[in-house]
Amino acid sequence: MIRLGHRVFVPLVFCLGLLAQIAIYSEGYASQPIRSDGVSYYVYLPSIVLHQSPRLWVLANEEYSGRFPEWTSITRWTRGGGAGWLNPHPIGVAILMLPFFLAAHLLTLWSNLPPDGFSLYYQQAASLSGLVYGVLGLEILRRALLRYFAPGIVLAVLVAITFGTNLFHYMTYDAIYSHAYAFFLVSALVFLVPRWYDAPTMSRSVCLGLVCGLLVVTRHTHGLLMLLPLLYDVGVGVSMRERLSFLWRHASAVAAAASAAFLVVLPQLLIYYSVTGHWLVTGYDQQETFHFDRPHFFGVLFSVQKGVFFWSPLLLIALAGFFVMPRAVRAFRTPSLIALALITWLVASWFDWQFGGSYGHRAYTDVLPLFALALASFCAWLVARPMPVRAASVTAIGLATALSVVQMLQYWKGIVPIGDTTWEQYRELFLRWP
Amino acid sequence: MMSRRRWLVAACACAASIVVLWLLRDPAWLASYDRGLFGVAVDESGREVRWTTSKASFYLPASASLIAFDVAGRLEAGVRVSIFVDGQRVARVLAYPEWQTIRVASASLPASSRRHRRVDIQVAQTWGPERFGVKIGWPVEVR
Repeated sequence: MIRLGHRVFVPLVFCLGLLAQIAIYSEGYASQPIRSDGVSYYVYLPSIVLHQSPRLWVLANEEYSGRFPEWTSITRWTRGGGAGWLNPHPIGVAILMLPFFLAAHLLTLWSNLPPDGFSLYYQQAASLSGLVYGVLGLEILRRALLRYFAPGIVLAVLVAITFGTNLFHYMTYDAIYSHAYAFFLVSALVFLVPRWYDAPTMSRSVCLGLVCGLLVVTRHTHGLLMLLPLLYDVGVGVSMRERLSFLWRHASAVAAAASAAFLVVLPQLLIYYSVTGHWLVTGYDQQETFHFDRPHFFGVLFSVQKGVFFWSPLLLIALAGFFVMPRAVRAFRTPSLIALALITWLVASWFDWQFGGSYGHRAYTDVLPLFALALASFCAWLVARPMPVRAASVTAIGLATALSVVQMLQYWKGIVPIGDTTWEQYRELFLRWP
Repeated sequence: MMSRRRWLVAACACAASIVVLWLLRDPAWLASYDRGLFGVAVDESGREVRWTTSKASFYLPASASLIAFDVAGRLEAGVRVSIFVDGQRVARVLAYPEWQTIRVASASLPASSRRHRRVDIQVAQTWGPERFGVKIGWPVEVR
């Protein structure tokens, strides 16, 4: 039964995701796949592939009559003689989406649809791409978890993480956003890091470098996740001195990884330089910035507006897992907790700590593989506990997952507000179905 | 070596892909597909119109010998509108608030093996937060 579950779970999620996307667009729950923040992640593709215009001029003129709409946050760079449109969202999603875009473009030409980057097949390809990367992320995570945990626990964790958080939502309803892509990359990181330390071969080094580079250009703040390969197993199996010595002994592998990462980051640097004359730049304007002196920790973690543990209570259970990790998984604990703490500080300090319209707190969707490790550890710990503790915990995990599914569907139907939910609103909408 | 079963699966997949591609070559549903057009509205003269965004596309039967449609803008100074049929530019006009008719004879277009011709409209300047381009008298006349 468990073996069958492992064989069918990921394909099943893919089929469910396809059905969900068909329902979302045919029922009119969302207008079209390429929308909102997704537009600025996506515009690189039509701009560069169709118009050979990395500074986004042609698209601004042809699609938006000379000026990108304010909601895209793409601003005209005028300082220091710069010439172009600066996109605050980096190029990583577009790089990953490229094969889907090219397939859509060829099919568009074949069917005589408008080859403008925004017609039917481009929209469908963009949506499918997010789903495929989310599903690939699940498959990689499954394999990563099987290294440490029994198949039954892995299957339960995959089901819970997929449906007990906002992951499925960001694979389907908002598939154009960066989160399914980042989830895929973080899953790959969790898969690759222990294997790289087992044997830092050239192919593993290049893969690790590509994943790290793609993470940075998918969301620059994911540079923090480089702590994972650096601090893996430090303080558990090895000391910091031993780690540095290991990296020194395998300098050629480290150089290969760094070169691969640099290759992936290079297009982003070239775009920044060609638009602004600077290699490094922030695409946000002065109002859109961090307020590190007054972070909204409670808001980000527990509030009814967007609190990650409020909207995905399953992750609160997963959090406990960090403290009962089996010996082999503990290698992930320190870098994961440090990365999660720093990400929380960054997110809580961002001027829009709710991250705009979203189901749950989408900043944490990207790092769900780290929570999956912790949740699996918790489940493994449960196995040796008395029956009442096991029953209560399994019930809590099941209820948290079911609640998340219901609330996701409520969000799709417009019952859950996209932001700024109040306690009164929540009480009124709790488990309500039209 | 691929097993016989895998060959069969691969052959079926190839055959299915060819069928899908053949079906997508000239799909009938293109007749009702459009992009960059707002819904049908009635303007102040009581005429049914559709506003474009900065770019709009719709399809007309390839069998038509004449495609004719009325265009009007909003700006007194006029707005530059380019019209393409199957990717080939057939007209470039200034659209004023007064209606003007664009006529394209099929004879002036390259022969098409498809059921529908794609009409693209590109507007140089839009207005309002919704980014309206020009209005087109709807439905478009074909003969």
